[in-house]
Amino acid sequence: MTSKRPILRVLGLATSVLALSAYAVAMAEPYTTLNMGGVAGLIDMPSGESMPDGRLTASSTHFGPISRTTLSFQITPRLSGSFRYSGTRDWDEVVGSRFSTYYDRSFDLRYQVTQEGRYMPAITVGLQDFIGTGLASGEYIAATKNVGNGVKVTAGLGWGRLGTYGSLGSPLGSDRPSSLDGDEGGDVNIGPWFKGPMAAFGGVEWQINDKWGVKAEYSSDAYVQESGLRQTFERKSPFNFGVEYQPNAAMRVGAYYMYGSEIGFAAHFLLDPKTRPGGGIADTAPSPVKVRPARSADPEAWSPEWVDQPGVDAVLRENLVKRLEDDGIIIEALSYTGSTVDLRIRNVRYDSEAQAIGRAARALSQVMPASVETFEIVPVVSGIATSKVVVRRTDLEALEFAVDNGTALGARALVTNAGRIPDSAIYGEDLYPKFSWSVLPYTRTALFDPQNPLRGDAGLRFAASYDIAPGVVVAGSVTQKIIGNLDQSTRESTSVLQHVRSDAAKYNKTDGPALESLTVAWYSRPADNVYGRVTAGYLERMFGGVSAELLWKRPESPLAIGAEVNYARQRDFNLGLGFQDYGVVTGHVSAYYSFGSGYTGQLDVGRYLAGDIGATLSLDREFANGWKVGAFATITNVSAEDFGEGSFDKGIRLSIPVNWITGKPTRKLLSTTLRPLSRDGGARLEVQGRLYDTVRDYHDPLLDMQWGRFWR
Amino acid sequence: MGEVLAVKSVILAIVAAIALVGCGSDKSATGNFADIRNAFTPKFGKQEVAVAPAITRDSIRALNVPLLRATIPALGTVGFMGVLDTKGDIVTWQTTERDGVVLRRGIVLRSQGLTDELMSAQVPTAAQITAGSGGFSRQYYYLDGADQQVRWDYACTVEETGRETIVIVGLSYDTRLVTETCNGAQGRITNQYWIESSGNIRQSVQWISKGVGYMKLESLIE
Repeated sequence: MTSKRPILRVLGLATSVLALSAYAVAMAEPYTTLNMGGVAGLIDMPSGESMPDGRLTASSTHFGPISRTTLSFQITPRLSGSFRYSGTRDWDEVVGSRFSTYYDRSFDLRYQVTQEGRYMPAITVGLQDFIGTGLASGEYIAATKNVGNGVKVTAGLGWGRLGTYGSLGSPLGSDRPSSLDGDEGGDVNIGPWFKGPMAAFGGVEWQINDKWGVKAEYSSDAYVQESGLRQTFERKSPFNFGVEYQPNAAMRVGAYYMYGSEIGFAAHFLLDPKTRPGGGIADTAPSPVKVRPARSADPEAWSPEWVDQPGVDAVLRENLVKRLEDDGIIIEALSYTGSTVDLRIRNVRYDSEAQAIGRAARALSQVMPASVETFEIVPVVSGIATSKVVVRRTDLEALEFAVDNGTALGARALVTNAGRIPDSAIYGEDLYPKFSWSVLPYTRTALFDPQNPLRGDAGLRFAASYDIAPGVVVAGSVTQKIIGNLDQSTRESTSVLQHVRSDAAKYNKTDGPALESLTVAWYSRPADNVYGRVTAGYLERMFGGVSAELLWKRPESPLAIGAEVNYARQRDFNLGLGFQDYGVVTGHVSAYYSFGSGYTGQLDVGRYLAGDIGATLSLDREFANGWKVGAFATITNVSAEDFGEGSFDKGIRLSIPVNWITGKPTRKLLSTTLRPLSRDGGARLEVQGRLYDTVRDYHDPLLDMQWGRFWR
Repeated sequence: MGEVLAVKSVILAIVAAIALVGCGSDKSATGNFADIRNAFTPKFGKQEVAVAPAITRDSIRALNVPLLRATIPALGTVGFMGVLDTKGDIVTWQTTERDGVVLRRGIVLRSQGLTDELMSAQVPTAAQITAGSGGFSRQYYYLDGADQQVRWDYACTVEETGRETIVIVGLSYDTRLVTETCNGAQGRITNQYWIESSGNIRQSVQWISKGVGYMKLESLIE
């Protein structure tokens, strides 16, 4: 055993100098490069290619008066989506406008119809700016073929703004209304797609070596508004030329000569959720599984009589605590019989729930007497037992070094309902009541204000929580701004609805301490597969009140149903303890569904903060390592006119596990939601600790996606 | 390091984390922040490389426990591993830093605590290696960056490629060098074994993973 450890100074093998080869290998594959719109393409024109599945890219491109920032995600191997924020300077130089720089937000969708074959080119159909104000709207079909020696040829047909130069006529109909300025935008109008003048575009890309590439293209975009009408730049030629440099797998930059008159620059940042930059999560080895002696060899060891020995539970608990504390696993409660142990754990360290369960199972094999064959490990989150993972000790012993033991264990372990906590269970010491606190920096940003598209504050956040009893917690946080310019926004909301979100700027004026939240929450598990939550207090920065939620979810089912009802009252702008006059009863019935392969959907139907009634549809793709990329849209009975610019609430959201960045085990996520416009229609109350996300980590399919980590 | 920094600067732009020190009793929150801060802090100059402490045959004898010296050339690290656990012919070797490898009669079965982990493997028996001729298949199981299991398959052959006298901390050993060549869709792996006349694998260089590369194992047992 461990007693005979060499005294010689013994060095660890793993170092922080992480192996990079795994990440570098990604570079050896043929590149698909991005265009200035941040989608697979040439310079200004798209191509027929797709990015690698799951790839997330952020692009910043500039030429002449036009700057674009684009976030793109390869949603499936063939489908991708983009969100773009673009600005055109000198907008009012020649033709009057209320904007000197015209900012526009747009969403694209691209679908690859055919993948490249020996003779078949990759063909992609794209919709550009399909729910925006229409300035950038266009559709295209583009085909790309590798012809060898790193050379790719692209040819395509464009409509809308991609059909404005060198028109070949309007083969699919000429009825294409143009829309700009006056409209609220945001409508999905299928009518004009592929209508109006059609034009051809094309180009060549040559990847000279691993790092350098050159491109040339013929653009079918006449820049009717930007160049023609408003003369923000002179479009002298349809030809664009560029050279691109990719120093590593994470970045590509380009310089261009565009439209015979302008210089352009592009920087693309490439992230692959499926590739950790550090190669993996650095962690210590697990403790070995202890194999029991054969029953025939040592029948006494297998006797269940130990159960009745006085003081045995204290010894078992102490030994388990000792073995699990290094792994960040806290023992909530322990109970046992001669043949079964029920261990309730709180996992504060491992992003991978399966890994926490694996480490707990290994510890049980070391500590529990031989007669205990069934290990029941119950992960507890916010005081709720979320599920029960049943592992047979015999399987654990047999599979420790078996070939493909991850798959084998996943097939044999059972994920089931947590059940009631046995009466004999003894809770861990020092867990309740318990006070904890932290002081950490925070940042807050406000995007897309035409006066200043990127504003932000930074400061300190003081957070504290007090665990009173299992499932009962008082928590709060106060922020103190140190630096920032959020308070410089002079935008007055003109919303005709109750200003439930559009007064956001007023909440940023406080220089003193701001109470972000202060709540008491009670989590419960009233019946098998049913979870409950009641939260009261200052729920979020703009609202306080009471929130009650009930969720039905079986550990093995892809479907969950929930209901939430809240009474929310609008808080004072100074973020103190006071409230304004506006109060509303808001709530939703929600259905959650897991489609498999990491694709999930959520439908919420109910009443929103401004009293409007409608539904939100969210679609996400999540990876077993914790990455999540998704989009949502809300339609309510508020008319597009009353909603204002954007017509309805929509946005994208992104969660990045901190361990993906640091390579160290932690459960923390960096999450952000990006709305092109935040207005008052379709706004939901933000309550912390909603049940679905609280319990689902320890349910299938999430647990099922990562059984391999059980043995880490 | 360039790749890592580039990726990190992207993240940096996203989170716009500011360099302040967090504190508090909630270590899961504050420790995290320290990790992020460290990840973003550029490391200038040469990375610190662990240097093996000088050892002598006397100090090994004084310890009187089985020891393996493990070297990972790609990472520039050296460590000494003791026996943590033995199950039949499977031995778990570990450093005091809690990382190491699991060997079946000298053949690497998995790695532990080395970040890009060899999770499980189908490996030849020691007899198939020491035979110095013949062929077999190998399977290596890894977790990819999204924690999904991937399997690498190889077709391997072994041949005796010479006789060498090797010196390990002051003692010399006459060995046969057996080279195992494995080909698969992921490329070629070459493992080498220095085998004593007793059949004992005295020294070997074996493949672990893309992130670790090869590991050299030297038996300090007399």
